[in-house]
Amino acid sequence: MAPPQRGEVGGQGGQDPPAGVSVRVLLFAGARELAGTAEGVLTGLPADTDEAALLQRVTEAFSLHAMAGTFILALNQDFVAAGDALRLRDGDEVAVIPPLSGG
Amino acid sequence: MDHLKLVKCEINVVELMKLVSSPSCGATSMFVGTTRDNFEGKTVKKLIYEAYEGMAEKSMKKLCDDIRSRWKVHGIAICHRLGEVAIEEASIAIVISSEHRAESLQAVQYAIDTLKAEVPIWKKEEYEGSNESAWKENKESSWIKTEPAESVVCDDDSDGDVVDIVPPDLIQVKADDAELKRRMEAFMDFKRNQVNFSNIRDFCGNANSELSCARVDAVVVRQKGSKGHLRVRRVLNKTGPQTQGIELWPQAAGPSSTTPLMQGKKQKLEVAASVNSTSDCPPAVEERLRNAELHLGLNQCQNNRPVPKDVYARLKDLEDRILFLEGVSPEYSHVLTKVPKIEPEDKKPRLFKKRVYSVDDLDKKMRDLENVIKNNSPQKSTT
Repeated sequence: MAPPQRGEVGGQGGQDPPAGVSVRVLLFAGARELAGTAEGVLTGLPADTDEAALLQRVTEAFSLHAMAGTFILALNQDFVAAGDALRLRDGDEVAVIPPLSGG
Repeated sequence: MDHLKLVKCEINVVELMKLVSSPSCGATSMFVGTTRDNFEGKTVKKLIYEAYEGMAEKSMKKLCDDIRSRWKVHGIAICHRLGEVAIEEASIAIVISSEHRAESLQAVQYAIDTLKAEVPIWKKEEYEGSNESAWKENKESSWIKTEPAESVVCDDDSDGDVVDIVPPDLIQVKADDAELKRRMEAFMDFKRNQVNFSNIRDFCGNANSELSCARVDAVVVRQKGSKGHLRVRRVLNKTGPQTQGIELWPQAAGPSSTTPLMQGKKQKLEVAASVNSTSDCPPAVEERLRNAELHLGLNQCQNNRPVPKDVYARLKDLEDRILFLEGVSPEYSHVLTKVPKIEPEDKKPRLFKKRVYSVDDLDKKMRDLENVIKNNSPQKSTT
């Protein structure tokens, strides 16, 4: 686990920098069934990260390898585009979004 | 006014219509998506919808704002059903009202297309027998098709010369697909308009303009029962190479070919003086013949020969001359269409010799032929 490069970045005064950020992860549809859970928590994430790294962490943590490449993420209810740089804060809501089929 | 709902019970379409209706609106357009009982030959037993509710509401709100930025609509109501939905029931209803129908009709189409692509809702189909089920994928859901395809390409070319990571400072066009598409369409529209403009300026309705170099003036004239709708006016030059006498003439090789027009004029004077007395046809006919001969460059070519006395011989010469000219420059054929038809009419009686055969005659002919063949074949085989 890579330590955060700058301790001050988190902005959550009182947090211990090396502990990293923890986020809530929501899973839907096929991802929910594959992971066997609708919700989980990821801890120890670097505050400054990017889409690829977060996708990697989520895939590993919830054993989503079988559907890797078919889902994207949403951070705090906004889609994350490929290659986006992300700044995570404690309590952020990350969602695993498989192919949509509404309507 | 936007009315957005995710409901677990049946959708009440009439209620939605009331939500968006207004005395100022002349149109209420509605899309209702209902569940189908089949997919690729399998019988669908039931469907289950699931949503990322917070985000779905947020993105539906965003969709409403988007619609309002594009069309002038009054009320928008979007209702999506969640949980189990029986076959034939409505899973989604979109109702939009507007002053006139165009806006609401277009907005409804846009709304359902965008909703399928952007609002996080999922559908699972359960099939009859074998406990089979599947999460569906909307074709509008863009990242599905592109991501795996891209990764496959990268894998295939990883040992080739494709650069995997392009430094961001080298990327000049950073617009997304929709923006690129819009730009290309705008460019095509612009080009089309440009071409149309210059075509109209050059070819339509200003035959006499000094600015245009076009030699035709085409005006669209719709004609019932005809495929051609262009009325074309051809330029008929009063001067220029096309109006000059043609110097080749099969009967007179060369001596008079230098300045045809001048010689024509001289000839005219001479003829006026001499021929009038010798010819025995009425003066008006004589003048018309002479003018025709001069016009077609006949006299000057026959410098060394007298004009035939016989009117019919002169007419024949004129006809030959016309046929010759037509053969040399086909663009005159539209003026002279009647001339070539004379020939086939002359030949017809020679070409077709009619003979009437009776049935007996035909039978006899066939028997004769059979005999000939019979007699021939053994002879050939023996020799």
